[in-house]
Amino acid sequence: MGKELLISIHLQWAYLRIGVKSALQYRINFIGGVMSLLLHSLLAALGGIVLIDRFGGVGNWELGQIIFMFGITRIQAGVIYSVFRGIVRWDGLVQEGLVDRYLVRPRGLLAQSPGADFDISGLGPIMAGFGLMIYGVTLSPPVWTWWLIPWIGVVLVSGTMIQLSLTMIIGASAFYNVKMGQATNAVERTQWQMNLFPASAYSLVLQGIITVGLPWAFMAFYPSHLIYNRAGDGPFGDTVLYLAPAVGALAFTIGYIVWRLGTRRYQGLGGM
Amino acid sequence: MIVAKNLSRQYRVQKDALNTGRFGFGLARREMETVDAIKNISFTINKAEAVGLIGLNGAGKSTLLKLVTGVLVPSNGELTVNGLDPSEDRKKVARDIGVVFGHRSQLWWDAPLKDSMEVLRMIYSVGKADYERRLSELVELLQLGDLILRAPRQLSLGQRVRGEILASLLHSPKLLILDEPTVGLDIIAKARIRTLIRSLIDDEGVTVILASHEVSDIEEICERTILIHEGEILYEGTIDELKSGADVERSLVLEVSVPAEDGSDSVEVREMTVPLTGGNTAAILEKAASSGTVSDARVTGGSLEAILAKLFDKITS
Repeated sequence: MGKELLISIHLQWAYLRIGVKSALQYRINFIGGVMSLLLHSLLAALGGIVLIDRFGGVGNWELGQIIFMFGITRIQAGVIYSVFRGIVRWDGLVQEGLVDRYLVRPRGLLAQSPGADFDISGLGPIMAGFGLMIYGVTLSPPVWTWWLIPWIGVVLVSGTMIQLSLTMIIGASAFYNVKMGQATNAVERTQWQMNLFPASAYSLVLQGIITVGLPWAFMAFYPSHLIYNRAGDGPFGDTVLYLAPAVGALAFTIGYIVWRLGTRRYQGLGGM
Repeated sequence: MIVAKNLSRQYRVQKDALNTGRFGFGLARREMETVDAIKNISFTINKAEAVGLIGLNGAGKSTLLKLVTGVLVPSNGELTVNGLDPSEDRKKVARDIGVVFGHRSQLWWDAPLKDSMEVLRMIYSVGKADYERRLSELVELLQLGDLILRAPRQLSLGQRVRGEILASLLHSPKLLILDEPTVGLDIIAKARIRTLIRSLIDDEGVTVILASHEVSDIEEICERTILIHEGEILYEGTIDELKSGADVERSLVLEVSVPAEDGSDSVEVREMTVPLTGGNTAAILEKAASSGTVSDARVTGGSLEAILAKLFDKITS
């Protein structure tokens, strides 16, 4: 298992290198792709900033803190868009017959597919995300302690796993329904919109949904309470503030199980 | 090497995909039916043997290849590849299989061929030293040379197919599965690929399953053929046996030089076409030789392609 994981990570690195090399064959397209998604993220943030700035903050959160949290989710989205592109575009790969291509090789689908369709354009949201985080901490500086940077790293990884698990579950349902691209887009856009504002801006029911059902509040909102020293702030207690890594791991496990079931169904059913 | 016993595979498909039903309710309630793609077939393929898989579109060739590679699980029956069940031990079986899909590339379109090989080296866990040695051997065998440094988009179709074969052989597979490998190639490129595949069988002892609508590929590469129709094996045996047992009209075409009828010293060449029936060849040749000089002789109508065309036409009508 450990060796397999290591090979899989190596493989993703190789995909990344070959993806960048391929993208650089078309330099204008490469720059255009990155810039368009960079601007897309920044313009969305700008719209939110204009709106929030009129009220000085939303849901008891300051503008800088909101920008910081949105920046985190943009980085997570960018990583999924580029590094895990093969899963985002899974229904297309099923239709194009590439799944058969993967299955005739001595590796699991999950080891081969994430970066196989690597898209460099995801660098746009990643760059925008870092820019927004820096701008956010400039406007609203947190209390810097030794564990803050590692914690931000953990938050970035666990939030990516949360969103990745939803992408995997939708991707796996391509084994049942073939075309799932619109569902992937719908979930991605909803997550994007929901994370533009702090969860405390929504009704208690909606907060419950993005805590228990689709755990988007763990991608940036809850863990940012610790960054901004805001424990004792939310309706669901302080435990949730520390749970992002556990929720990320759990979500990924669920996503993996569903993915495995989908693969078995594909091998059982054949042509979709 | 490959043993199939009473192998079957069924699919569940939508009965009438375009039927929306009254007021569109048919979209919600889909009627499914079971289709037999492979019906209770048995066969054996030995080591270093080349077997051609022939069948019309939808005959079950691709399903059979997917079963052999473990992509699909059989509905019934037994199948072993190198002593392993491909659906149970897919990854282990895959280590010894190389696959070339004529319609589906495994190369990165915009990256040099060598980069694609590096990724495949990781996927198949080929050691660095073995990889370097194997790569240089194959590059020489496939006459790729500096083309290894070019991206597939910069290569001709024939060069790309050689790149695909290189990718499928990098891990030294014992079994090579080729699905329409020469589709779209010109005659020179086809001949080169055929020679190469034949040398892999003879020199490296690779077992080959070749599925192709190019009957001449199968005729030149394979000793044995399996004819599939609607999921069943129609014929399994050597190509020579298939040809000799076929009920196909063959003709002997002779070019005979005879003295000109005007009495001059010149000769004129006449073409004679005589139907060949059991044992009359010698008599025809004797008669032609007595009337002039036979300058050319050829048999028409007995090609494998003609035999198969007649056979499938008879079955489908």
